[in-house]
Amino acid sequence: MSGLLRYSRNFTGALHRQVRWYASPVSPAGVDDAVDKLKTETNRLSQIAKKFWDQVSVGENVQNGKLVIQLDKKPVRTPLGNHLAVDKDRKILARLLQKEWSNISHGSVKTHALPLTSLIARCIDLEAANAEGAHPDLKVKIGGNRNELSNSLLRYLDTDTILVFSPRDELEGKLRAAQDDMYLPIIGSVEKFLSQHSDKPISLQILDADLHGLRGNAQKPETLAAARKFLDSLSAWDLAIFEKTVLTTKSFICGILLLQNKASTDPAKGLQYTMEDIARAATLETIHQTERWGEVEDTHDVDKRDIRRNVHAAAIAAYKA
Amino acid sequence: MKPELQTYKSLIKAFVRADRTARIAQRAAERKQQLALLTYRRMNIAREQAKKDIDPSTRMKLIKDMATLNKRVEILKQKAPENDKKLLFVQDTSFLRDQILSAQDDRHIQHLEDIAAFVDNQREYDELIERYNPGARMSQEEKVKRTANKVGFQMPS
Repeated sequence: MSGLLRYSRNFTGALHRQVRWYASPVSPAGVDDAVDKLKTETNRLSQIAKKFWDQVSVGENVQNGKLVIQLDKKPVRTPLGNHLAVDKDRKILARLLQKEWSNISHGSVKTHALPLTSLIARCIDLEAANAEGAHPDLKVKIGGNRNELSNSLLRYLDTDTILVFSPRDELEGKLRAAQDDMYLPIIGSVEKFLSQHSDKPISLQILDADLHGLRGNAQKPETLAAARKFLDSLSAWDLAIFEKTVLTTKSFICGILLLQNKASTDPAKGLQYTMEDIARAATLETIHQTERWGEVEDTHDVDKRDIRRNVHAAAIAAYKA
Repeated sequence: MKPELQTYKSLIKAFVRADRTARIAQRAAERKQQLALLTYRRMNIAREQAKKDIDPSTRMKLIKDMATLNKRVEILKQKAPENDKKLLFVQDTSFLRDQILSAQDDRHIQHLEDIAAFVDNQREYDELIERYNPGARMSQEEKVKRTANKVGFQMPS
């Protein structure tokens, strides 16, 4: 009887684990979002549109030595109920998270206002859901099944921005020249990089508008296999960052570039790029088209900032000293 | 200029700009709250004054209280948070300085530059969103008032 009671309590506990508003999963996979109807501090914030805390601080967890972001001494929690905490040697990241929360001046906060918090929360939750012995429900809740994540991310390699070339007669060939200049070296280095995960040399399928016209692009099975191996080699934390980068830049290759430059101290040869380069590579066509036709207000300017803030947030989260 | 100094400068600039917008908004909210509180207290005093059976000394005191409250309201209304010079400085530079001083290699400096770029882009993004969606930050009260105005009505005050 007591066993049954305990079981039912566990069950309701799992049901009551709340998904909070600021870290809605970015995964395109179907995610059950009926869970965020519960009364929690963060849901309260989005509903009553009023700041309900005075002090934002960074505290230290005595047990694991992590730095925890706190609102009035209570830890901020991620969608799965984990503490929003970072390693002790990442003081500046903790500081930035604290800043994000203390700079909220009004209650009606939207998800877009806390990009770093939502990314770090995703990292923490993905790690927790994929830890050994974690409840399988957790993965479903945040769309954290690594196999499904890989599947959806691999689709971005087929139609990667970096692999699509515009016709030579467009914009007097300026755009094509810039693409050749920027993309070709990246493609060469990424092919070499992916070959490490395969026994055959990898060649990426590009889509040249002059040769192939208007059609979709698809990679060869061995390329996809190598890319999948690369994804499997990533830690859960890095995978969350990779996901964010790919969804922002619409480019699998940009994800590789970002992780190579930030998550490893020794980026592979030919893959050294700054974050601005990555953002530029992802929006090269937009840059050239707006140069010719002009910017549309509330579209190009907002997108430009959006991509850059997300790429830089991912870079900050990925950084390993 | 040394690259560290350049990075330090851009970090400070980014933080000041980002904090300033947020702090101005916070102060405006605080001011609004204080004004509401003072108005409430003024109303209470006016209600007291309206009573008939009060002795002259209390009456004098009420008048005095009312005068100080009025003064405080005036002062509050004149204060514009936008003009506060304090908002042009970072409150705590020691943390950033430590970060710069402990930066040994180019990678770390690049990381700090990424942080400055992130803060800058986030602020500009927020500003753009606000510019193109002026209703997003409006209170419900304000929205109702404007909606009523649109069809020639006024909300009862």
